[in-house]
Amino acid sequence: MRKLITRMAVGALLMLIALAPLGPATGQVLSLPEQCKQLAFSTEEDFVTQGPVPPDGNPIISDGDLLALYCVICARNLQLVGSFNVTQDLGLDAADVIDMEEYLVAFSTELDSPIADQFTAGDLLVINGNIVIPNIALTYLFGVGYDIGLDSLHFVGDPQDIVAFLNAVLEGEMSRGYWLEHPGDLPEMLAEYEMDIWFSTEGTWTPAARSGFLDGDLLSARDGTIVAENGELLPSGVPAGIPDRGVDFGLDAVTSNRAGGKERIHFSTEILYQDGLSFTDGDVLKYGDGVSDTNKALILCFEPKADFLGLDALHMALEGLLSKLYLPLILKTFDQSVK
Amino acid sequence: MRKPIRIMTLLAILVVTLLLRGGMVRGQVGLEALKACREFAFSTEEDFVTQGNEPGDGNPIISDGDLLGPSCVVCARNFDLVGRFDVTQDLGLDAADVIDVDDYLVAFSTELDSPHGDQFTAGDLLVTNGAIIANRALTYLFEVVGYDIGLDAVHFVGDREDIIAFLGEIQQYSRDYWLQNPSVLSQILNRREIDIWFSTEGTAPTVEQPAFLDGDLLSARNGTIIASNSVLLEPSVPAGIPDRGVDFGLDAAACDRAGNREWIFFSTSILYEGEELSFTDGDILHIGGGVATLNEDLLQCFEPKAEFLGLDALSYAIGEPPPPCEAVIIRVGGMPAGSIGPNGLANGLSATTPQFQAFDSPFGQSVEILGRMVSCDECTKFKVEYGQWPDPAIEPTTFQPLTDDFQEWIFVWPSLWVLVDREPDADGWLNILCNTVMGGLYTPWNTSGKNGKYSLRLTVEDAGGTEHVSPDVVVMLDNTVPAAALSLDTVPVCGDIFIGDVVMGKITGTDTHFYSYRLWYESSLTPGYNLILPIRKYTGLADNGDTNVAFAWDTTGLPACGYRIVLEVWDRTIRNNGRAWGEPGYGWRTPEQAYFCLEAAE
Repeated sequence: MRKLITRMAVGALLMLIALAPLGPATGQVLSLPEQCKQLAFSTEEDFVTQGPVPPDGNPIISDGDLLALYCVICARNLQLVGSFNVTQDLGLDAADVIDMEEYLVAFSTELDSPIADQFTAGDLLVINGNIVIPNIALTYLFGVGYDIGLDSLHFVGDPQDIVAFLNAVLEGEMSRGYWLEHPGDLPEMLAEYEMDIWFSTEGTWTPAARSGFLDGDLLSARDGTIVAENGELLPSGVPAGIPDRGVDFGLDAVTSNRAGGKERIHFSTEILYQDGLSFTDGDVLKYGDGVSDTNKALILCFEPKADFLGLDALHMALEGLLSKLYLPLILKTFDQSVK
Repeated sequence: MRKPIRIMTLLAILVVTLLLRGGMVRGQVGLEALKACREFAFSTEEDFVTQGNEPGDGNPIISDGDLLGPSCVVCARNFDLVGRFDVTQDLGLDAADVIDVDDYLVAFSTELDSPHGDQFTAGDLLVTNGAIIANRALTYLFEVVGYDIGLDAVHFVGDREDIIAFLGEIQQYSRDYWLQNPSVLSQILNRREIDIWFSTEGTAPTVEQPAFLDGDLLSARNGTIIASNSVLLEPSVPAGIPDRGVDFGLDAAACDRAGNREWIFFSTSILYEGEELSFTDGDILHIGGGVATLNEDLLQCFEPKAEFLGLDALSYAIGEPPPPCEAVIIRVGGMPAGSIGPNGLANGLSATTPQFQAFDSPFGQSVEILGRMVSCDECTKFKVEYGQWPDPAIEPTTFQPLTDDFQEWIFVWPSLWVLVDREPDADGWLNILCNTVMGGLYTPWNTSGKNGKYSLRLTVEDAGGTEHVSPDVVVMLDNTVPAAALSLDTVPVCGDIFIGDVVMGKITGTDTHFYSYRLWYESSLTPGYNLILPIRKYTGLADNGDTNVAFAWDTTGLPACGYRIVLEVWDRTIRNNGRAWGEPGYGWRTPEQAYFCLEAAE
């Protein structure tokens, strides 16, 4: 009987959702909840929140939604890709909340755009301006020359410079087509604006005649260098890095402060590790220091039926000295409030 | 913690496919190497360096785009697969189905789009014969899609010849053709009476109102869901949206060609830790059940520095007829080989008549080894070898053949049973008896005096002189009887005591593979098992029994008579291919007794 009632309730809920006006429409004026400035993330899979029902009344959380603590949904996937006139959920593979006021969110999707040649899952997208920086521009100085995917990203530099850079891209009408024809302009512009885009790829690049990179390395688009190797990101007890330590753990999400402090890097891997210093691919890890926060802590407020949902995109405000303890403090406070 | 539910009935198949000896199938990466993936193939989620066998091309770095097979064989480098499309970059490997190794026919999808413009996307289905099926054709009948929604798992269903013919037929169609005529795919699949089962990267059309989840297994032919995420995973797992709450994804899937759903094996995109079942996103799961193979078992022969490397693609020749001389040990000591774990201990019901039950049981005394009956036309002789593990964690490197003579029954038409002498040569070789009544290639192994972990191996030689070596079966031997000691503190053995005295003493009941002990007394006036201590049963693999356990037996109220106290200790060993039924103990029992006379008080 109880099951029947539950089903009826779910059915009614679905009907309401179905009858509700279509979700976030293209071109909708957007604003990010304040909480998303401090921390935003996405999961690897969809789930139903058993916690507070989101403001839009839809309890289903997509792996393409941008989430924050306290059960906050920063943006539905359709709000992110909707600004590109896309009406399908394309997933969310990387994200960086650059400026709340300007509503500047950089991200990448799991799937290519349904609109031919608009963008791929490897391109860097910025809403509020519909900027598309194609993958080959990001990897230009590495000499990759093809779309090798985009798994994580983080903008480094003075926020004003970053905004100025994005404005310049907009004002210069630098379309995806432009970047494809002039991929070398990206590192030059990044240098000019004294900023950088840190990122990781889906694939490993192993050119025959030069050194390449792993998909677990953190890369610099401005310098064409490895900011932090996979082996450097993970504690020395973890066999990370190829060929020396033996395994590429991948780099699924990354964030740091805007100054580009390596010691502030927080990230997640593609695969888990179970030996001594254990972590899952949904935990937030700290540069060279293992688990900072568990996946469960991130998703706790949603009270999902499973304790693990993965971590595909991560943004944290890690400015200032206090920020070192920021997430643990928030989570501790939150845990207590839940209890 | 992780508590895999092992699928006992399938373990034999898994063992066969996972542990096939590299020696018999080794080949250089290239066309020949693919043959190592005839039965089983997979890819990992991340790159790693093998610390085990060096791949045929000498490169120890394994890419997550390589197609891997049993016994650490690299069946195809990513370049071998995408090279068919003039691609020279490693594009990853997200799904794979090995259709025909002899014709080098593999269907697969990549992690990345082709570097050659619109040649193919990561969502398209590629075939090593050059065919490309655009993602939109796969999902055409799911009218809600209409865009490239990715491809995460693939499996062809149907008669193998029809599938091969289909893959040949579609070579003529370009990717553009599929984009222009996506409906044609289901028409051809219908005509050929085959299907393509697949899963996508995304949920469609919206997560709020999904026609299917990225965790559902779909049919390209019918536009239907073959097995939803909630069906794939057992009821205790909260799989499925919206009802149970979570979409676990479907990262890899395989089944038999007949498309029997009960043979679906798969992996998820995220792990789960539940009270009843836990799994990682690298484990092979069985539909509606639990973990069929742990990710670490899949990869252990690569000896990677990390035990977990994920699972992105899975191909499994379930139900295909085995090669005629394929060597497989199917039974050891009366137990199905699939019921014997990597620790050499057996669990579950025996394959004998009458049946017995094993509980983490080792083997002792005479141990029957039975190999799968091979083709009498194409195979000539066989031998069984054993190798002792020098250390519980180190596999044997040398093997000795079984060379003892024995006898075996054969049946001669129409009604003659004959006990024949079997005399292996110095290397252990025996000719194959086609009329044996033992149910396979039979060899008894006298294990007397042997203890510890051993590996068994069967080799079959075919008419051409090629040796086919079976996967090792690990068995634990225990030919040491349990220790049983009973000592009395307050009365002399065989002495006299008075009614009302308390008999005190200590017992020891131990064994490396301890099962239980029982301490009881009896007399002709008090027959039966009168327990002095509760029956003690083993609690787990680390339980070796008890030492110097004190007891006190109050004789108040007992009739005057001659008495004995008996301590019985049992281990879990399967002796001579059997264990007697009964509780609290089975099989190998060690009794220890004390006698005395109980007199009325003066």
